[in-house]
Amino acid sequence: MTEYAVERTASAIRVGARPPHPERTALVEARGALLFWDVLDPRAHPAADVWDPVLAADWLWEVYGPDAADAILNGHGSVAADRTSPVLDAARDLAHLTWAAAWWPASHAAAVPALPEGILRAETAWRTAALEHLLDDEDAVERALTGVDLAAVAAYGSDPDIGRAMTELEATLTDLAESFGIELRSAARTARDDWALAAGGTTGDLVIASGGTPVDWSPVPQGLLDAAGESTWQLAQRAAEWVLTVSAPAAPGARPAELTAVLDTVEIPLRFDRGANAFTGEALAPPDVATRLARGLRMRIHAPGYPAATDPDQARLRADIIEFARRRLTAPDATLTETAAGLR
Amino acid sequence: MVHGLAASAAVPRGMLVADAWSQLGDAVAPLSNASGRPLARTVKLLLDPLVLRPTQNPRFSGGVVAIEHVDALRQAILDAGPVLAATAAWFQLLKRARRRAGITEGHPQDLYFQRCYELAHLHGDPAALPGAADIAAAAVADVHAERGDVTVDRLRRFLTDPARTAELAGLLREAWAGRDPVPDALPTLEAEAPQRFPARDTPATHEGGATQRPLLPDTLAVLEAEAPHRLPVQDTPAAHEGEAPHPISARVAPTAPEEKAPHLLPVSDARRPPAQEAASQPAPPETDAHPGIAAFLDDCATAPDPRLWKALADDGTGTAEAARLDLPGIARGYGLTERDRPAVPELGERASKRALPKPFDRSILERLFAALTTWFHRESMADVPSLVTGEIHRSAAPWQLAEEPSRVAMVLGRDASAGLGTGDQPPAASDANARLLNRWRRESYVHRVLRLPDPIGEEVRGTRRAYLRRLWVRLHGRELRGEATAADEVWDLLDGALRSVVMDQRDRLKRSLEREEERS
Repeated sequence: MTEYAVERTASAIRVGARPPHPERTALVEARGALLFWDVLDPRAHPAADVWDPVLAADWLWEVYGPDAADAILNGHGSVAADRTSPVLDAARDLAHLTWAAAWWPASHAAAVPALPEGILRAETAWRTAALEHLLDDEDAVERALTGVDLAAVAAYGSDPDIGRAMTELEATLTDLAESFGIELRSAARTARDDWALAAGGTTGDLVIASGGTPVDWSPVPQGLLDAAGESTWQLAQRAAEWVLTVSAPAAPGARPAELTAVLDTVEIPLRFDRGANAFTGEALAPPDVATRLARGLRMRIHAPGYPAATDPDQARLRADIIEFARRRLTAPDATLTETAAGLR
Repeated sequence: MVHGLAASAAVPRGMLVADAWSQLGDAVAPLSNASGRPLARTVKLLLDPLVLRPTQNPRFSGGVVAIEHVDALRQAILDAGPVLAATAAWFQLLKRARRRAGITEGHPQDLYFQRCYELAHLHGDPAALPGAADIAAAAVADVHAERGDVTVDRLRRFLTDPARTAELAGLLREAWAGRDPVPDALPTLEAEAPQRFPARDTPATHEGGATQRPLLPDTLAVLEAEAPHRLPVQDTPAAHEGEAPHPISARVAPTAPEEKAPHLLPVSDARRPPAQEAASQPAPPETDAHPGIAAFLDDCATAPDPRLWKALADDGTGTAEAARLDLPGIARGYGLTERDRPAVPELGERASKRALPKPFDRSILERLFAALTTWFHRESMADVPSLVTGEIHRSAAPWQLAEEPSRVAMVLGRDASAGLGTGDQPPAASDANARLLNRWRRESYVHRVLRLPDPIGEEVRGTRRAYLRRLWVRLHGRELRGEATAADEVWDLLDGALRSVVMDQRDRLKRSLEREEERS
């Protein structure tokens, strides 16, 4: 039984509340409503912002059951949903996969493997197709299928645990592609060595000071930084100049990208160093940086267009999500994507 | 399976349809999704226009169905069960035939669903029919061949034929000479319009003609009236050029080539005017539009008034509001041109999906090219010479659109999109305006949840201009396909254009993250 308060605002009917953090939010953009699950909340039914009750009436009963849907749409102050349905399951799976694509906390440090991206896309397309009648985006299936590479799915075809499910998924996607007029690719990129050990390096610099700070994931795209890693900096003297060097451990399966570290007043561009398995960079520091060392330097790493996290309790939130992800790898209701990641 | 019916006086239509549909069983699985519901296009292309026909059966329209009509709706679907089952079987055969023929263009559901429904009526279930595979192959060949008459190639040859260019250029000059920027002259122009535009060659108007498709006569009117107003996913030539690593926007999002981000595309065409920094333009001041415009915008999402919709067109509201487009900077402020004022378009010699100018800056060739490279309902278009002369006249018409309802829709879109992308939260001027602003705000929340960067700069500031461009392109496409716009389709059109702009922004952001990887 899931119980929610129902509140009417000028622009929407709010069922329950939006999850408190984007990092915890699993979302489905349905026709006339946003549906959200908090990934750390086991309740089956989603909270919702119903922005067009007329459109949502068409399918809301499939997610909440007819009585609860009726209560939501017809002015009740609270709602209790207990009915489950295949549509609810598919919606929750799609929301969860969408969450995983954005926030899965892959980490060497916390031993959370990266999700196999090919399987993630394939499973997302499959779940999207099951819900195409209630999604806001009329081209959602075509959009999802466009990213699918069958070879990534076929690669698991002989696995003793999930081979059969993967073979079925491959057949289903082939059929969907034909019905929706999309030509699927079938040329998986070669897998990277996700668990390569980081190589250490030493320089001849004279290190004056150094420090570290846990990686904050919100201001960077998914899959770049190790979710449980600590980024480090050091201030060194080299040939009569002050040099700030920054290193942020890369996530399993990280890809090159341009990030920026901001340390005190200094902006340091970071590049992916595959050998070191880290995003690294260095910049000259103004002479007065050393004088501010006593106050402690705060470091932030971000990508363009990403706002800084505002939650003071980031560490706790991160630990919870990492713990959740670890459990998902072997959960009985895990998605194929998570199960496949757990096998690696 | 329908619970709690007695509790309310009306039942969600989706629930009734799902219930009846589930009784049709596996036979309609090819028309269903994995949840057992009819596909969105099954509803849009088959159930609504051919089975339930809400236009003729208002009791079946709307989000909920009154309790006394519940059985009738269910019965209508069950009665159609055999023909829907046969339609599904034909769809399987046509897909097979398509695969054998190596055809990858177009969306199979858009292209074949109604054709399959016709075959189901003509032949019944293909399982019992000798030669069904041949019929299916012929149908597929026909669907793809009947478009052969109107091709980009023929269009280009026609427009660049030296024997004809002088005449066409004269026609273009004449059309624009008859155009008077002074508003007083507009009613005259409007009065002449009907004779100036060639009749479109639609199945409904050419019964027995060479281009007639074997549609069921009693479905024709409905198909005309209810043809899906959105352009479906298209197979664009750009998608096969292999340049985009992940060509979602080339294949999916754009309903027309315009819809690719113009500012991300290489601008190499020298005859275009220099790009203006649109962001530096002051927002064009709004006029005091016809009061009916605001009234219609208040109700169009919930209870569109067909009489008001018709009155707005009859009064020439769209035309009247177009007069200001000729003032300096206005049309540019709407994103429809990069010029200070709209100017006579060229006939054009070439066109590329990757570098289409803004709508009013497009040549005649580019305007038609944009519509021709989409596949849907091309058979309802006129032949090449009529298309070209029609387009020449259209280019000189108010809003550069031929029909008054399209112009009214542009005015509605202009007012409904006020404040999009400005960053501040202006009070909404109408319900439709509030809804569009809400969609825009929702998108920013969704970006955060999907861990996408915030769009910045021109991507945001240009939202309203991108919106009006997309709306224009969709209206233009509808005119070419002869699709009328009913009052209850207007909101879908206004909202759908923004959804499409927003989804394209999202795709571009995702691609920019991926491109970064390839650059590095």
